Formats: sequence, C-alpha cells, structure tokens
Amino acid sequence: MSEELIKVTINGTEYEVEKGRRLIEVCNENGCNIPSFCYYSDLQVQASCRMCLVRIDKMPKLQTSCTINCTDGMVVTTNTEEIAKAQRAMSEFLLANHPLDCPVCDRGGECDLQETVMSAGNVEERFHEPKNSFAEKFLSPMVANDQQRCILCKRCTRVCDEWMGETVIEAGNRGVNTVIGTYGGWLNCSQCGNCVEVCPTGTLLDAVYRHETRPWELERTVSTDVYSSDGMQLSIGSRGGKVHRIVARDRYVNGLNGEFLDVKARFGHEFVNHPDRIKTPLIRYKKGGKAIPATWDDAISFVADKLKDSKNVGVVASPRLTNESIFTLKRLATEALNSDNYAVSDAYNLAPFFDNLSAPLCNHKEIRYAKTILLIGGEPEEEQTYTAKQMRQAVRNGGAKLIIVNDTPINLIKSATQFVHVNKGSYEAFVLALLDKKNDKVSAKKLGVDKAELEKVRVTIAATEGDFIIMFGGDLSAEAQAVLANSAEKFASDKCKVLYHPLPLYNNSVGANDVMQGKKSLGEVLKESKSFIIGGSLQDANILEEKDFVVAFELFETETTDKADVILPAASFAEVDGTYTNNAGNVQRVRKAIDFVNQSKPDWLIADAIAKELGVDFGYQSSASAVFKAIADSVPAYEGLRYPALKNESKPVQAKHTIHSAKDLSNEIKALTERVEALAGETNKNNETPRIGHKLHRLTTLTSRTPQFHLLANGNPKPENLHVSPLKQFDTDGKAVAAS
Amino acid sequence: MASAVATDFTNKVLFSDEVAEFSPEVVKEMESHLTKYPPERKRSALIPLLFVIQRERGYVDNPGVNFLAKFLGLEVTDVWETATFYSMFNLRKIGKHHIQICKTLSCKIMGEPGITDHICHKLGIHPGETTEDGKFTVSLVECLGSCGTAPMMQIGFDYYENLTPEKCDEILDKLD
Amino acid sequence: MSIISDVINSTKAVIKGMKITISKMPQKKWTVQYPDVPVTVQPRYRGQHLLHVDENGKEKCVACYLCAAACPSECIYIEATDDARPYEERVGRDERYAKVYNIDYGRCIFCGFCVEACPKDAITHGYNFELSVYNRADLLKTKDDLLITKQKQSKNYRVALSDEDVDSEYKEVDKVGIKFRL
Repeated sequence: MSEELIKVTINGTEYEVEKGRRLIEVCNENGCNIPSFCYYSDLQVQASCRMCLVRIDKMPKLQTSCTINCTDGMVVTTNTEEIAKAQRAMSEFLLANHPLDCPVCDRGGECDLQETVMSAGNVEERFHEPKNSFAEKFLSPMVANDQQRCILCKRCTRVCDEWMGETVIEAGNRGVNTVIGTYGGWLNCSQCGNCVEVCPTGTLLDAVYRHETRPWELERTVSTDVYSSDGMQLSIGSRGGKVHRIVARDRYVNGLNGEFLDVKARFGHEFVNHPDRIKTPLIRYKKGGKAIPATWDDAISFVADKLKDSKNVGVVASPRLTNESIFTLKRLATEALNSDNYAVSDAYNLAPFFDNLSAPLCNHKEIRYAKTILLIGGEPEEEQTYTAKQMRQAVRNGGAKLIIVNDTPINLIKSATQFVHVNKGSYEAFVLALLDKKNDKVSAKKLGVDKAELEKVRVTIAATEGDFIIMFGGDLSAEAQAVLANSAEKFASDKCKVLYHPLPLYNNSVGANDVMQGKKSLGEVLKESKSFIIGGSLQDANILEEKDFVVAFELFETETTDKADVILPAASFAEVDGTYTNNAGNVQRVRKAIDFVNQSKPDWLIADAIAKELGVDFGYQSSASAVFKAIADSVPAYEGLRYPALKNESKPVQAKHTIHSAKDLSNEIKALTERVEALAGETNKNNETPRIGHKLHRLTTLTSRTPQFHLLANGNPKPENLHVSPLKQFDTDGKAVAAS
Repeated sequence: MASAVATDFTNKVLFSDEVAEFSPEVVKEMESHLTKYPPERKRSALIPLLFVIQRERGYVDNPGVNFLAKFLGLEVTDVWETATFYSMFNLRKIGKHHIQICKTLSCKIMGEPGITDHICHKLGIHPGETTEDGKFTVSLVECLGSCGTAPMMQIGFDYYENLTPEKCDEILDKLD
Repeated sequence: MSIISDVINSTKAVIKGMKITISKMPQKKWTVQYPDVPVTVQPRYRGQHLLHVDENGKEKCVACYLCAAACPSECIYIEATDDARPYEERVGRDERYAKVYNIDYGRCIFCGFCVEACPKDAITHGYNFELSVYNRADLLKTKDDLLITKQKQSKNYRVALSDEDVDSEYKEVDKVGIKFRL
C-alpha cells in the first residue's frame, strides 16, 4: 500500500485516503455504510452480489465499489434515490430464490441478507415463480448445508481456496441452477468451518450447534482458543450456564485471527458441559482403591496433611493452563512446599530458545507480509493452523518465498517455493549447515539432500528484501534451538529483518515457559519426587504408580487421575479468568463465560487453597487480576502488564521477551556438531503425504467429548442418507449402524 | 426445467475413487492438446480434454474426472465445476442419437413447442430423458444459431432445419 | 334541629335508596352464578396460551424464540432442539422444535405480543382464565400444560357467539347508567 494520500469526495465531504485503497472500505470507514455480501477484505474480489453500487462522477453506470480503487479527485455519491432503487432491485433478485424460513434458519438474527433487506425496508416481491427447493442436508459431521438459501457470493469457495488451500467447496451447474457443493457431496477436508463463518446467509451452518438456540439469546464472551498455540480470539456463545457455540464472527470479536478458526477451536467445545466432567473432589484413601467423593474442605485439608511433612514435592503444570494457574502452582512449590521441583508437562521445552533469543518474535500479521519464511520441522497446517493460513497467503498474495525443511511431504508444500526433503531426525544437521557454509558437506550427507539445495536456501535468504521469518517445530534439540535463536545477526542486513516464530504444541507453551522460571525438566521432576501435585495430566502416567502421594487437578478421568490419590475438579477455559501467551508472545485474556460446572474451581484457586491450608497466603484474595499483577511484578517480560491493558482483543499486547546479543555458543555448536556426526545418515524419509487432518482430528481428552470428532478420527465416512445427521448413522468407531 | 441431462452435482451415484484408463493413443492425443498452451497453464487444456473424455467414455463420468484431475494436476472439484457448467458436457449416459431442440426465441415463435411435443410423444419420453432402448435422448438447448431456418434441431452434429411434425417423423424414422 | 325533621329526612333517604333497589329487581341480572353457570368470554379474550398443532398432530412451533424476544415481561423460556427425522416421525412440523417451552404466569401480563410475533401461528391466547394456584411454583406452565392437545379446557366459560354483541355486557351496564371510562 502506498503512503501517498489522495483526496476523495464522498457525498460532498472530502476525505484524505491512501492511494489505491478499496472504495467500499473507505466509504464504510467514513460512515457511508454500503451493503455488500460478496466483498471480504481478506479475500480476492468477486463482485457478484452487486449490492455495493455507487455513483462515481464521469463513469457511465453505477459502479461496484468493491472493485474500485480510490484515485485522486474521485467524486462518489452513495445515498441517492437511484442507488437505493438499484440496491432494492438487487435484494429483490437475491430473494427471488431465497426461502423465507428465517424462523427455522440458524442464521436468523445475525444474517447479513436478513439485516440488509430489513434495513432497506420496502422490499416487494414481484417474482411469483416457484422457488428452488432442496432438502436440508449434511456436508460433513460439522457442516450442514441448505442449498436454496445460497446467494452465490462464493465467499466459501474463496475461503476454502485462499485460506485453507484445499478447494473442496465449489459452485456447480450454471445459471439459476447454480449450487454450492462438493465433488461427491461429502466434505473431506480439515473441517475448519471457515466457510460456515463467512457465509452471509444460512447456507452453510454449524452442525454441532444446529438448532440449539438463537444468536440473540446467547451471551457472548471474548476469549482465547484453548487448543492451538496461535492464540486465536473467539467468542463463546453461552446461555444458562451452557456453552453452545464458538465463533469468530467479526461483529462479536476482532482478534488477531479475524474470522479464522480451526476445527478444534470452533467445534471442540462440547467438553465444557460434558456429563463426564469430574463433579466433586475425590479422595482415594487406599492405593488402588475406589475414589470417594469428598467436600472441598475435606479434600484440601487431606492434601495439606499429607504434604505437610513430605520433602521435595514435585509440582507439574500442564501447558494448557492459564498463566495465573501455572504461576500459582510454581509459587505453591517454592513458597508453600519449599521445593524447587517444578516443571511443565510439555515435552517441547522452549527455554533454550528464549534464553538465546536474538531477534524479536514475529506476530501473525508480520507473517502475512513476510518476504521469506523458513520452516524447519513442524506441521503448522495441522497444529498452528492460523500460522499456516498466514503463510499460504504470504506466498499467494504477497509473493513470499517459503522454504520448508521436513522429513515428510506435509500438505503445506503445495505452497512452498522450495521443499528440502530431509531424513528423519536430521533437522540439527540443517541448522548446522545454515549456521556455517563449511558444514554443508557433512550436513548434506546426513540430511540426504544435494549440496546445491542447501546453497539455494542460502541464496534465497540472502536475497530477501523485507522480513525473514524463521519458524521451527518441536523436533529441535536444546542446542539446535539455542544456536538457531542466537543466529539472527548472520542473516540480518539493512534490507532484511530477522524474526522468530516458534511453533509449540499447546495454547500456553510460551506462557508456561515465561512464568515458570527456573523450572526443571519433566523427567527430572518425575524421577526425584515422591509426592506430586499435577495440574492437568501427564502424557505417560505409568511412572506415578510407585509414587507415594499424587494430587491431580483435572476435568475428566484420565490415566493420571486413575493413579492419583486425590482428584480435584478443575475448571475449563470457559469458566475461568486468566491469560494465555501465544506463539507470537501475545498475552491475551481468557474470560469467564459461564459459571463453574459442577463443583469445579480454577487451578490457581485450588493451589491457593492448598497453600493457605499449609499456612502460606499469597494475598490473591480470590482475584485473578491480583495473580496477574503478581506475575507482572516477578516476570520481567510481563512487566507493567495489567488486565485493563489487555482489554482490547484487537490490539494484542506482546510480552517483552529479552533480546540477547550474539553469545559465545561454541559449546553448543560443538555438541551439535558431535550429534550430527553421530547421525547414521541412512535414507529414511517419509514419502507419503499425510492425510489432511491427521493431527487435527485426533481424539484427545478434550476433543473426544465432541461426538463428531469420533467420525472425523475414523476417516470421516460418508453416510447413506445425507439428510439425517451422520451421528445417527454411525457409531463412535465410524461403523454404519442400521437405521432405526 | 428441462436441461439436456440432469447435471446433479452432488449425486452420490456419480462419485467414486476409480480412475479411468486410456489407451496410449488417446493419452498421446491429450498430450498434444497440452502443447497448445504454455506449460505453466496446463489448466487451459481442460475443456478440450473434457471433450476427449466425453468422446471416449460416452459421457463425462466420475473416473474420467478423476483421471483429468491427475493428468492436469488440478483438484477434482475444479474439473467437476467446469464440467457441470457447460451444457455440452453430459454427466449421464445418453442415447445413441442426441436430439437437441432449440428452445430459444426464434424457434419458440416458429412452433418449437409443437415440435417438442410431437417428438416426445413419438418417442414416449420427456425432454431430458432417454428412451428405454437407449437410442434417443431428447434435450432442449439454447440458441444454436440457425434462427433463419427456425424451428430447428441438432442430432449428433447435424442440423435439421425448417421442421414440421411430418418432417420430424421422416428424420427420426431414417435414424436407426 | 328537631327529632321529627331527622326522622323525615332519614325516611326520605331510605325511600330514595330503596327506590333504586326495587327498580332494579325486575331487570335482567348480569351477574353470573360462577362456577355453576359458565362465564361468557369474548372471542378475542386473552387467556392462558395455547400451543397449536397442525392437521397431523405435529407441533407448529419451530422454537424461533421470537415470542421470547417480544415478551416485555420475559416470561417465556424456550430450549430448541434439532429433529432431522422424516416428517412422519417428527415431533414438530419442521426440523426444529421446542424441547422445552415454559411460560411463567407469575410474570405474564397477557399483552398478546407473543401471539403477534409468532411467524408460524403456533401460539395463541386461549380462553382458560382460572390460573390461580396454591403454590407459586405451579404458575410456571410447561409444554404439557400449554399444548392444545393436552391442555384441559375449563367448563366454566363460554365464548360469545358471533351474533351476540361483543360488548353486550358493557352495553347492558351502560343502560342502567353506569359509565365505564375507557
């Protein structure tokens, strides 16, 4: 976008705008609201709904303002009778085939078409021909489709193509018979549901929330995604203590992700009110015995009694918890239990990265406008979906160069300009080669690639004019992370700015690393301690069998709670106040949407209660903002942050991670070189592109509570009858059941 | 609405993972179509190739679409979208003789409805259907550009003009 | 003031009063011996609500929440649910119906806005007017109390016939000189 300002006259008032901006946006910003259905700022222009007509002087006919870029001296009129008449005629055409079943339609109340038509008023219907009529049907377990409501704005097809790179929804047939559909009538995609989000009518609908309630009945709370580390902002729609749906519709929330959400964020919310939630505190008085319900007071004093005399109590926090909870668990360990055995149950430790960070973390907007992106390992389209979307658009719309280094041809390589297909577990060799040209020969051999490919990577990086972003997945060793994080100076130049973007697996991995300073590794803590307090669950709970005393804070019964002596019901993300820190370092609020389900409590409140019973008062006075203040006081990166500063989700606040200057890392480099040299170097690349959604659709403790995920995890089979919910036609293993 | 063939975009009968196979000569012909376009714009060859598929397989069927998507490196939905858009591509099996009656203005004024009724009555089918013996398919199409000799129809690739019911009988009787 | 004039004055007053009483005696009575005799209600009387069904017994309500949105006293509570079965097996007429439909008559002001708002003509005011209960919680009427197929109609009312003047009672009152202010 050029910085040059030009003058545009809209309805007699002169405005100064940047040259080349879209007229429709300029008009909307300046209070001349122009109705539109097909225009979407983040997508390519379609101009099919013809609602955004305006009169521009010296142009012969009415013009669609979504296709016009502002030029100097443009004189625009938007409010004449002529335009109102044209728009009224357009809405009449759109309604020619649109059924008026708004009372049944789930979109009724937040439907763009409904609003535009009603606000224009005075719409007469002169078409008396029978309307197109199709039965409602399902396109997938997540997406329901009502073909006749479609106004052919093609937002869904563009979103599918441009955002997700999947092209599964398309418009078929022609003329009046045009319908939005899929090849074969069944959606086999990542089920992100963004087509549902951008649809201006009720054509594509959320099948998980289908016919549950109506939008104006829902209480809306802006919160943060609990699954991916992108920290997507979303709006929780709840009614009467039940979470009904999650959307990112821009009328409710305006976060870093726009209207983008992925399948887990959008549909994986059924766990919040699931009947299997642990209802009361449970105490197992005898090892291997039955867990018996207890009151909170009893349970807390039981825990305190047991822990009072034990030494070296291990405290483990899940990277899914809020910063407040993780911080309080740390304080519980250090101040109340006098133990320095605390850890995060995240296999992917980012500490070496942040200790050596030599350039700032990049936010998601910078990815969108980056010039070169280097992705080492990881699979963002499955784990950090929003990052992947931004990468796709950077390549597609911004002409960025995307270099992917991976042992598997992941789905994202469709967008890549260069794909370096390396051997399994040899990412360190690539880091080494990146570091110094002289390592090329060794590295190329261990990586199983040609030396020329490494040279090509280097040339692309050197030719970058703009932002160069280094992303890395969870497969890098501590040394490799440290070396990579400290190498910004090698790539930076006058023209090229280096930025980092780690790709951790959990929503608060970065925050856990920030607030739990001085943490040990999980293995160490598990080995050394005899008694445990675990916030969340462990990946592998077998080690807990021989421990003396285990307290677990959990939502559901897991392997960890099976082995725990005291199980305390924790509150889910929809019931707590707190903050998450995403992979761009943005500290974002989690807000309480509903009351605590059953007797659950936030993890930090439980930890606080235990500390109080042990005789230590943290002074939180049951207030999450007080905990956050304590974090801000003790963690340098969060200095000065308070909840009011995080109030506006459209302006995310980045934590101030220390930027270190280049360090002497010869020890690490030596270790890295040794490790690379020890690599076998045999060719063991994965040659098969994984199925789309192989990680997204995986059943976990949380996602498995949404019944639709069971079908996705079992290969998303196509049911016999598309008019009945697939849930009624398949059992949880994806096998067809006889129709009742 | 009577279109040539019901182009049911989402009919599950039409959907399978099967990929069609073609003889080397046909593949060679397909490749010769590719040479007409820049190598990075393979997509442009989609319509000529769809005609090849239709000729070889009788109609644009599901395995053919799957083949074409692979051949051109496109998504199946892209091929399917194009195939359903044009009425010249048949997505269902059609009869040996494809009778396309022009239903646009000039022909309509000059008595197309009578011709259509006559032919349909004679064959015992509705527009858009195929006779049971698989010999005839009747469809109503948009203007075929022979308005001066209206009403007219096209059977296969041949034009029959200035139609009257008697002339239609004669033409149809001659076809076997 | 003498005793005699007192007596005369009070006798006059009694006679004046009794004159009205006696003049009313031969006139037709407009009080009703409720509950032995049914009360006449006007055709547009707003009594307890009715939820209607279509000719096949399917509920007309699609749980669109418009009645709840229109309600000024917020006495309607609905929970919608999906019913994707074929029409024959459905509860309601459409794919969506109200799993829960409650009206709290402790709050309802019988304004009729819900009836006006209903796009499916599923809710109307019935004539049942005997809503008093011994327990306040019983004022909350559920779908079972409201459905036309389940609501028991009281024997204590009759709807005014079409040839009866809809305002007959008031007119009769007017005749004897009591003005009702509107």
